[in-house]
Amino acid sequence: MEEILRFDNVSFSYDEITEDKAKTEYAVKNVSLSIKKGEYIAILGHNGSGKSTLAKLSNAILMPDEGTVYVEGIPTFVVGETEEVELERTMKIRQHVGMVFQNPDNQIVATIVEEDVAFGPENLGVDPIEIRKRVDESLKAVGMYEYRGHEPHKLSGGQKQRVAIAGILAMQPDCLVLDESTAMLDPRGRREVMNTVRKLHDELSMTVVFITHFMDEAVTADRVVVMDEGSVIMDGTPREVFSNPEKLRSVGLDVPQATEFSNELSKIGLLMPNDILNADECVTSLSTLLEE
Amino acid sequence: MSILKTENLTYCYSIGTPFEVTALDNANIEIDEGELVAVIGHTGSGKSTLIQHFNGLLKPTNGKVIVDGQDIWESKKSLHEARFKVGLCFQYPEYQLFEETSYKDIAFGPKNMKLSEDEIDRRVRKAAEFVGVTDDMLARSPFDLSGGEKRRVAIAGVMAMEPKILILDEPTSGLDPKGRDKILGLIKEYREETGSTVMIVSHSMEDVAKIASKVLVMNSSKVISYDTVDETYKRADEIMNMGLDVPQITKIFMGLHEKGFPVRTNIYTVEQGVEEIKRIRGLVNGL
Repeated sequence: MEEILRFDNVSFSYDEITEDKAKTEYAVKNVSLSIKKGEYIAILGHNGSGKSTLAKLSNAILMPDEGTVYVEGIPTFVVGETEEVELERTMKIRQHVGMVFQNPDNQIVATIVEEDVAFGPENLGVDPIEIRKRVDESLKAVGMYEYRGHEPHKLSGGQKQRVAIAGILAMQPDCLVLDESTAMLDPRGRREVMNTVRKLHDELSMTVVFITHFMDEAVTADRVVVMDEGSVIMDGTPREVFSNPEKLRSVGLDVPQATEFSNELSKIGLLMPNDILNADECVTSLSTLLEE
Repeated sequence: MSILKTENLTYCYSIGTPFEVTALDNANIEIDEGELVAVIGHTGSGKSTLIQHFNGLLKPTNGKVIVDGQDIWESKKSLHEARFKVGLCFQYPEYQLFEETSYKDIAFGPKNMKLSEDEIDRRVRKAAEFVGVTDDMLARSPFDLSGGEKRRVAIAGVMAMEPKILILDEPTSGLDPKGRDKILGLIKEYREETGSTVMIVSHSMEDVAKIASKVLVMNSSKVISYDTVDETYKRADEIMNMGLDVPQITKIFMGLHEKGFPVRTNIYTVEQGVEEIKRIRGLVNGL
């Protein structure tokens, strides 16, 4: 499959990099990662593990200190470029990779929902008739079309995040990066956002990279990347990653309760599969065992 | 004796306008001293409106709020006292830090209480020690600290007022599992050590199950129930219908129950789950 994002030995530090490299604190260190078109990936890691930095490196908000990030084959940073060329490059990259952030109140710029969604394409110089079309389509895709005339500040957190997602969609990116976009939402808002993102992936084959602390969100991904101290320490299917609870706990993460429960049952002689991810799977396996 | 009581507490926003809405409808609750109460309910259920009444941030449209035996709206003095007896820590409190140093930030509350310098110092150091804020961190600007550290400084600021009732709105939101367990552990310890009453507002039923002694359930501006964790989880179906999540382990036991296994459904921790399976395995094998 075609590659959309590639990290080649990427390192990044928020501090000045001094002569003595060993002393530099890296937020992201030597990361190599390839993300294919159409993937649905969760990135897990505790606070400060480097996952948000990784997200910001993916659409040229941050530039790597070492190594290269490629978006659709375009490097996000080239040494010695004029400002003009760099700006053009950055604009191109941001059209490929759109980002949704954590705080729903920090991402809305307009006073009416549809104007907010139009903000991105307007800045790209899209034709007004085309903008109208994109705004309507984007709002329909996230289930917020009925709210197009509403004031954003009166919406719930989940609704605001869906408007933010629509604003990104209106720029027609190939890849959506969500940086803990559900962290400030209640369970209902979280479900709304995750269902919307899943739908965009399933129906529009959008590539989705979402950063999260919630294990129950991570298990819905096709691939899970775990970060610790700036490096990728695990990369696999949710089943592969979550069947290693000791390793996850050692880096301050958790496993879903269903996985933990299954492991505990195996310890008392009820041999449950070690790759249970959700309540339904647990009920099915457990009832078979109990009926034996 | 009850430390906090409401009588027919009702609150309406935007009275006299077309946008009038009842955010809190006839709430009658009575909370005993020393409880650790979890307040649950989805967004818009009235949780925040309720807790903002406890230290007089909102004035009831109807009804009374009684803190420590005193109707807080009886006089200026009683209202003033309620502000110190009830410490309220908002959601994302780290955004409210403002002083030059963490020390000054934590001291802000006690200073407003017009305590002596020595007493302020004692309280700041005690609260800081409690939440694990080091002397080095106290001397630094709160803005140089990490997110988790900032939150602990903010919580210490409320604890330093030594309120009889400590209320925390969503203290763990946005934190990773380790940070979350750390804050929950602190809250539990604080209550055990000081014997004060603590309330936490939470969306996370798994958190609630870990530390609360009582659960207050809110839905559509009404108090639905106030009961032990055990009794509350017996009505897991009802809670899910209110748009709230129950712990995954509870869902597993509801699923097993539905399939006809003789299990209890008010299971909310993994340990309880394992014990319950042990119990019914004896039964099933015996048949």
